[in-house]
Amino acid sequence: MQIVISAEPDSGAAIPVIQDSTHSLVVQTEHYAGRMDWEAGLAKFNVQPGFEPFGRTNAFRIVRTVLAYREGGFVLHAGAAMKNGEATLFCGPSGAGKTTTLSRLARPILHDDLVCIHPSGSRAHGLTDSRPLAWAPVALEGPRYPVHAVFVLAQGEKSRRERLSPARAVADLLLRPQVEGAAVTPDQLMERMLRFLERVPAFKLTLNLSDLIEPFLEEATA
Amino acid sequence: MSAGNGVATIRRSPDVAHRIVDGEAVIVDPSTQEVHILNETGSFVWSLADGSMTAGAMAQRLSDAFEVDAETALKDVEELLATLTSKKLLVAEGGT
Repeated sequence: MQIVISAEPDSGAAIPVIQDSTHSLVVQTEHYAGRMDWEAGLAKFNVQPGFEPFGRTNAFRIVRTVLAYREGGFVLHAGAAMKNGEATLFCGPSGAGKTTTLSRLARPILHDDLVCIHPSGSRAHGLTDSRPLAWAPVALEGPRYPVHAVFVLAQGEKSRRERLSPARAVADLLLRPQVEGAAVTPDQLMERMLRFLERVPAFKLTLNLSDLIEPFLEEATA
Repeated sequence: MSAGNGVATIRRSPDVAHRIVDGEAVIVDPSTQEVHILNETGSFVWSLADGSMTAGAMAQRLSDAFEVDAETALKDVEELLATLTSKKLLVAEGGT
């Protein structure tokens, strides 16, 4: 799938529209309009002038999210940091410390907000909407990495880490999906997350943000 | 309609997604975006809610499986069913 973005004034509808079908997905908002043609492997978006880079970023996010679901994967609202070629994921509600945690780790960041989980179950890639973009077709595929562990973040006075039961883990992940359109049913999403959690350990990580974080991550695989 | 009126049968709402994961029921309600987890006995009752059993029949099964007296089992089942039907995760059918 390639994506082409243009910027032409358009008097298109102000009402968000998402139409998903076997052959294509149509998205229209007041900021951008797009059509993804699955058979042609091409997505075309027109972003209203004045809505850059917001419109472009969102166009990419929608295409990549929808593609992830169509391919049998899912997208988590999570940050991801790299170490030794593996991604460690951090998810949690707003204010749980995702951004702070990522910023305090001496690790390259895969993405600070959204992570695609590949259908193979344990490989991830970030929804890289911050890459340099040109007014030309841009390939959507990025590198994929194994997932080392998932941490569901919370803040507390005493830092501690506890292994999540499979039920608790899938419940926590089910609260953090990023879904665009009617790409997946809750039942399918649960099935995909369970498959993922069969391969990847999940932990609740309560952090006092004045503590060192790395030791808690290292113990996860000790 | 009360889930615990003794006549109604109880079934899981077709609008929710659910799985038993290592003995614990995980239930997703798309309409509220809520995820629920039931404990061991709650999950046992959830697994029985296929539309064929009344609260009393469920309580009998719970009593047999977990070795609790019938009165306690019925009270626990009725409380759980009341909670889950109020959240529209379970549906009571038949009865009055």
